[in-house]
Amino acid sequence: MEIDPNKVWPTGLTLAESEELHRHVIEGTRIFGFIAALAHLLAYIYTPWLH
Amino acid sequence: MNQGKIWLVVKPTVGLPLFLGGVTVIALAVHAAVLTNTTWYPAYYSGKAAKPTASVPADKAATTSTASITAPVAGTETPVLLAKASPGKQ
Repeated sequence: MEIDPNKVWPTGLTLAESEELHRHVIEGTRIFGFIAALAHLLAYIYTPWLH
Repeated sequence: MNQGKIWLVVKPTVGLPLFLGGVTVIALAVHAAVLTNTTWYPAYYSGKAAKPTASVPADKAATTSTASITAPVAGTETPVLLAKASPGKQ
């Protein structure tokens, strides 16, 4: 089903705006995940966590 | 993005705080659980204060704790001769 790119949905966003916002959400999640993974690696190395 | 259409049906002013709030609550819950169920995590946050808590056995404590330092009591000080001068000699 094709979505009209000019349609304004009930949230007030168009398809392009929604996908642009979602790109930022995904990017933020990736950065957060990378920092969290690094923090957990350091915690694993330098603390008794999981040893 | 695969699920990019979600913001067509979920208002970002509702969905984003819910998402970020959910991440925060889960992260705090997991860390609080580790904090309350381990000994090393609270000790880490206590810093050096928590380290020297090794107890001394009672028999050794009795022999090692006899050394004491007493401060001089006023009026009982012994005079101390700092220099001896001999008049007539240079």
